[in-house]
Amino acid sequence: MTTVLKRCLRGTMQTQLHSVCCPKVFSLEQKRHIRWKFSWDENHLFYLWKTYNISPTGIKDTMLRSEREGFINEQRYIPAKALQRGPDLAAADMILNFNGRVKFNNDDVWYKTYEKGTSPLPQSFRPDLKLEAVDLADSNWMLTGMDHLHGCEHVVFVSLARCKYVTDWFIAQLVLHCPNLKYLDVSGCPEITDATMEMAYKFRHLQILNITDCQGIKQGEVFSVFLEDLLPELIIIGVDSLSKMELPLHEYEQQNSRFLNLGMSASIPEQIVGLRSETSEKSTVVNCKLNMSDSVELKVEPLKTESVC
Amino acid sequence: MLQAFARRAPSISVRARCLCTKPPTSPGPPEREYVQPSTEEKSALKILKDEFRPLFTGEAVGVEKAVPRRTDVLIIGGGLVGTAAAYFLKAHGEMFDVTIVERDYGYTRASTMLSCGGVRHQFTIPENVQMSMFTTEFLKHYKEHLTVLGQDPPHVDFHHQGYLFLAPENRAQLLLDCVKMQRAQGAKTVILSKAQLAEKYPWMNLDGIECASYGTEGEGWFDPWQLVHALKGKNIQLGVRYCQGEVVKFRYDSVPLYTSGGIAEKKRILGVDVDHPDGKRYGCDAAVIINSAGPWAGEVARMAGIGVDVFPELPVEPRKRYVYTIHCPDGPTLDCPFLIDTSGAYIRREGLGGNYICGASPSEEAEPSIANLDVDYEFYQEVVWPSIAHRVPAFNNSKLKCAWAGYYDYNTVDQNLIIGSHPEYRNFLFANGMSGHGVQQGLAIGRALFEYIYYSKYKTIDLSMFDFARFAERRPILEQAIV
Repeated sequence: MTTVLKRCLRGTMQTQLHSVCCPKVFSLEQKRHIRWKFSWDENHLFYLWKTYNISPTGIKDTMLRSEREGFINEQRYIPAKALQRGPDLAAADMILNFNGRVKFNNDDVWYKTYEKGTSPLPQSFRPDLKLEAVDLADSNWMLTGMDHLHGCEHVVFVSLARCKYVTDWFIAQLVLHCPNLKYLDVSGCPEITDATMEMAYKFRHLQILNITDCQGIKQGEVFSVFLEDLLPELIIIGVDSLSKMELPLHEYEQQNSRFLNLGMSASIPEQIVGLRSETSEKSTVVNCKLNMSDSVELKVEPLKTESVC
Repeated sequence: MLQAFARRAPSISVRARCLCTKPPTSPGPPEREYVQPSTEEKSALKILKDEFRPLFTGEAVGVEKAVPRRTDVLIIGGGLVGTAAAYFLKAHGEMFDVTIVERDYGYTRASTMLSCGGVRHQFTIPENVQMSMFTTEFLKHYKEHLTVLGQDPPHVDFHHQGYLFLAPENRAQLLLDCVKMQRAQGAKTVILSKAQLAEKYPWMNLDGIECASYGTEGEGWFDPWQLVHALKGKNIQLGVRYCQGEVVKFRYDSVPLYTSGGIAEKKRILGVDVDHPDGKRYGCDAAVIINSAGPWAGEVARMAGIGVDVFPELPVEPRKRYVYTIHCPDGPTLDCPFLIDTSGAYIRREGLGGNYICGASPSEEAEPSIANLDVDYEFYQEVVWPSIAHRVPAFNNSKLKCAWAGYYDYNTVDQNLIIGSHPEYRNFLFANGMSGHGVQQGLAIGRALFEYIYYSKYKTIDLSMFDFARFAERRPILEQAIV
């Protein structure tokens, strides 16, 4: 463009070339490049100071982190989609994208993505289709994905077996979104801990709870006893595969709970201690069939302070 | 060190303290050798000599001083608030040189370690709700944030039980309004009627109760020691410097201020003097000083001259609170939430062996002495036990196992957070006065301090209403849901 202009000028206005001083005009691309080069926005310094760990563990950590963030991004809850197709179909769509299977209330067929990648689900809202069962075993389901179950109250079967990112917070979200759950499978999830068992009583209709090989659950037997009281129909599968508690419950708790070790048990005056009645000498748990310590005595123990670092 | 603790006991009232013009004496042993901060001028030859001295004298090479001579951000106090501030400063803005000064690595009197560790979203001020919600969000993904490369991921066991606030008839409307506000902020709180309470909690006595508010998601309790331990490990990996020592003095720089009434003096905080256990007193210069000393924040502020040269003072003082562990064989098991009674007493389950943790706040007149952490068992017998035995009849058959006491960093004016810079000493930041909610709000306060230092404004949660200037302007912010 400029060379053509120069040739024209050379031909016509040669004498006036020297006196023509046109300012240098930047194109839109050039302007954007200059603004980027000379912009000092607040987050610019973050990129300057970011340290990169190029050791093998560092690179692996970065790759895992970006993979995880990728999953979180893909599983983001988009309210507009849920509004358009209904919560059940939107959730089913997201589950199928991540190699899960779903079942609806009208028939006994498990739906899965076709090999070509297309989805077998209807594309528009169907009020008669309610999501009933969700099978997410061996998938990369993240906490943001649980938002999709908002509004799916008819779900009665959830399987999160062998998902490595599943934590107790997933179960807390399930309590919120699907209170009518009857079957919950968290077998093989390494990050599930006792808090899941603590929350299991909130599913009032729970019938089967599968905790096979959940190595994070340390007090599985004790929780089974308590859950039997609160949910009589419940069957818990997999307690035998967990590690057993070697100590009786009372000693185990005293060892592991920092709160029970705080404070002095020795100097309580007699008139306060006498507040208890005679029957509380032996602590018996109703319907308990396990070997738990029966008597809780007021031992004189030295002050235990936890040392930090 | 014992005399240092004895010195700590303030027994004068707040009003009397205002009249004091002399700062409390902090003599230190006379033989303390003073190590100069970086303000002395060193010639190039002197620097070279210092570098090569270990070579000739045979000392270890490259030993850093116990307390650095200069740092960017100095955090006084290594509890949850200070550690969280250091974490956010380093994790997001790696350019800062952060030092934490903590005088007691055993945390024997730190409020964080002696708290019950509850997290609730049920406050009456929206910003408090948002801060607690950020704590929950952080704990959801704590493994990703706090895993140190090459080590096992940390453990922070969170028990998702929820808080249950009981309300009598005259406070039912207030509770309804609060729950509406909390739901507008995104917290998942619900109102339970008397019939629903009777169905869900058959072991509770509902005399005088009209309704209750319950947090269904994100509320519960955890062990703050585990969180601080995890944060500290991550901080050390990120390069935060931990120093053991006690801040004894602030150093100033004066600049003449030409006013119409004459020449005044404008002081600027340059740094602090820190007494180290090795017997020396180190001078440390800092660009920004964060006061996260917890219950002793008022004393640290007085050392800096706030309340002595410039007014108003920082109205934070330690208040002792007792926590009692009881054992009851027939008490509520898995479905026991963190129950807050109408009388102010609270109770929560600890473990599965029938142990519970309870306590109550004493009235203003009956505030216990803060000289030591001895427990008053009469308080349990007269105030706590009647309330909880009335509310949960199973506790008539309970036994007191043990008890401990901790300090609240109590804001005597409005029991709410004080955050931000001082109007005159602009590089002195506050993070005090949480009055029992420090564990819930600590992470959000840490992030807010990072945003204040880096962006000069709050980006995520706007905490500018909790600034220090509200005491001079007489606009207290009252929080009604205090436990």
